[in-house]
Amino acid sequence: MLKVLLKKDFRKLAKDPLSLLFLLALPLVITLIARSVFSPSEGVKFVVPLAVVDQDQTPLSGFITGTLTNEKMASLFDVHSIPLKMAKQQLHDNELAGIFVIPKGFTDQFVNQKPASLELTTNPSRQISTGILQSTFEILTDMLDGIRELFPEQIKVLSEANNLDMEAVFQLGRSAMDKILKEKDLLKFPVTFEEEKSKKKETGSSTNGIILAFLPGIAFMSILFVLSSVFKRQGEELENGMINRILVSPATLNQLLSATLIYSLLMVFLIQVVLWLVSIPLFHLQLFHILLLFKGMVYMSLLATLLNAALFSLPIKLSSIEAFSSIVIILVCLLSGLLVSPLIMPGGLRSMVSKSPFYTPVEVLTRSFTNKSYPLLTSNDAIFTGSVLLLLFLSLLMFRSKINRHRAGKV
Amino acid sequence: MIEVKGLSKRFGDIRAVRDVSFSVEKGEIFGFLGPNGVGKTTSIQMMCGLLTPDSGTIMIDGKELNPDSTEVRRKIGFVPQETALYPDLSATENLRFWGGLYGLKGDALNSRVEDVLRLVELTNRADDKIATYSGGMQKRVNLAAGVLHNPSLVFMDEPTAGVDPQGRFAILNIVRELAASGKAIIYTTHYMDEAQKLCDRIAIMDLGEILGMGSFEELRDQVGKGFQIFAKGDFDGPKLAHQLRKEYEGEVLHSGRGLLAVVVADATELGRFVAAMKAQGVNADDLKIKETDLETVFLKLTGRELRD
Ligand SMILES: Nc1ncnc2c1ncn2[C@@H]1O[C@H](COP(=O)(O)OP(=O)(O)O)[C@@H](O)[C@H]1O
Ligand SMILES: [Mg+2]
Repeated sequence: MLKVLLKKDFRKLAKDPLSLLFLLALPLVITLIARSVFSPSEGVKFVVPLAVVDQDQTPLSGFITGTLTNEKMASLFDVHSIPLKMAKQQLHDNELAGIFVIPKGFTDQFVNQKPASLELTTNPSRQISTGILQSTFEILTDMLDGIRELFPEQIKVLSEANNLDMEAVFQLGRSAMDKILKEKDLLKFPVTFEEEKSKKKETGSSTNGIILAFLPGIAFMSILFVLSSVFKRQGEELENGMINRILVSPATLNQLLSATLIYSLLMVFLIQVVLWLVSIPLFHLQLFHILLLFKGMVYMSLLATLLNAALFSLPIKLSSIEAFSSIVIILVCLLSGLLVSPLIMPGGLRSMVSKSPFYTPVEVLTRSFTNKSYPLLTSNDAIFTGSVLLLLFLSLLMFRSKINRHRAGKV
Repeated sequence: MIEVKGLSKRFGDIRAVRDVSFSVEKGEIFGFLGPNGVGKTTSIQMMCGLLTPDSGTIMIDGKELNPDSTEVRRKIGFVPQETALYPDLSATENLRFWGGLYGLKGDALNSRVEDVLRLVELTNRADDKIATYSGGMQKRVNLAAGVLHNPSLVFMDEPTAGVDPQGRFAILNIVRELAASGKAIIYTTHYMDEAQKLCDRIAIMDLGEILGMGSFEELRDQVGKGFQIFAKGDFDGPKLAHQLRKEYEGEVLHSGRGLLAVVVADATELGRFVAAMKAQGVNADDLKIKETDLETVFLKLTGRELRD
């Protein structure tokens, strides 16, 4: 039964290549817009305002802050060395994208092979900057780990010395750094797809990361697809008697909805693969960019799904639901800063968006899901993707109950 | 084949179907006749298991209808009021899909698709998109899709609505052919002439109720053979009817403000009636005269014209 229903869906698709083309073109256009945002030469000049607070005040911490101000980084970061309190105020006022703190005792911990931590506070209303900061931060910590791994003996010797010679630590760090830079060109930002892959292999972690990284994007696409196909198409079929006719046959409502779900997911997978294959070389986009972008879209889709599900449970005509929800989705997405980052909005619009009631909750939500480093897929992403799929399923259930109510004559 | 007793359904305050009872045998064409909104579609949807009745029983082949049973679903054919076909697919592709839902595949499916395409005389257009078909052709494919799996009981909901006379003629012939092959057919229409020509028995419906049921002849006997006169004008119907009573013999079907409907037995009576009407100052152009038919019965039962 599912096979028959699916075969029909794909046959219909084959007869309507324009809609398939549109489905493929839409994400590409969005990606193109994204590229213009990310590319400093063509689009907006993109500098991340960052406060660096060095509470440790050792040569090592000085070296770390130095890496952020060197010429390679100068095009990317606008570093302010200010006290923590002031930095926090500026972050609150949206003047900074993040605060980087080297806490007191960091060098001690580091040299003594104990867990040492650096602190990064990011500004949730600056998603792109947040992503860049997190990536850089990750490289930095990897680098420091690298130093410890490459020179464990020297560090041990140093730590056992009674009087710790900071100059020596600094020299050691510097030479280790040079070595790593020569070998891996690690500081060439952003991290490229290949580097990420090879790095992962070296550290022996799972190669599933790349495949898993597709998930948020797949979730996003499935929502969009299901929004436009399930809600619209099934709605149409309900109104033009198609569903009635199917339900008189041995096919059941559950089979009908399952087939729709499977079809959507298959389509999404297809579109996703094509999108990735095309967009990476075409727009010189990197995994990092696309992930960042898709995350925003997943949140947007989440909103859209919730909205549709809510609208769907109301006794409104299907065709008006569609029109109404599209308008609301676009408005909410604009006002929440998810469709277009407020960073690239003109001043007036930016202040309007940052004052809109949708902005803060969405950003808080975003932050709770993005405070882990890119481009690795975090468990939060997996949880998020799961919940989006769950919502998708719930919307289908609501559709089902709508049809059942329709059948019972309660609509 | 099917026996329905006391079927009722309401939508909120609307009593869409009230206490409908009837039965249909194999090879019989049973018609529901009535204007829009009288509950024909609602009745059919309950019998197909699409709507749950509020009360009443539906027995198919002596067993109470269980819409979840695949066995029952295979027995039922459904031709919905809407053209429920995929416009981008060809007739063959549509039919193959609907056949597939009934578990038909391979050679069996191919030969059934060919059979029904031949039945509806669309073999030569079979591979064209439905969207390129005329309204009548689409309705024929719609019908074909409902009988593809060879059901023994077929529900047809206004299969000729919106089709030109020639197209309707073709569809009626197909329905006759299906009945001749032993299927029980339940057919709804708001075309009086269609019910008269096609159906073995007819149920006249108004406001959810069956007001009269029987063959065309049986129904017409309720008003007798003769002529129906329908007058509309600037007069008081009941008063006029009373004054005219001395001049002619006939049955007043309905009278009201500016409205009078009368049945007379033959041409002589008709002449006398018309003359009397003229004497009362009624304009001859305001008179509609025709032989008594189902419309007359409908008028008598409901006080309304079938086509308002
Ligand atoms: N799903 C529904 N919800 C509410 N009212 C309905 C529904 N379906 C039909 N009705 C009402 O029931 C009555 C009978 O409708 P229907 O069976 O479609 O008539 P017909 O097929 O004879 O034109 C109409 O008044 C119609 O408005
Ligand atoms: Mg109807």
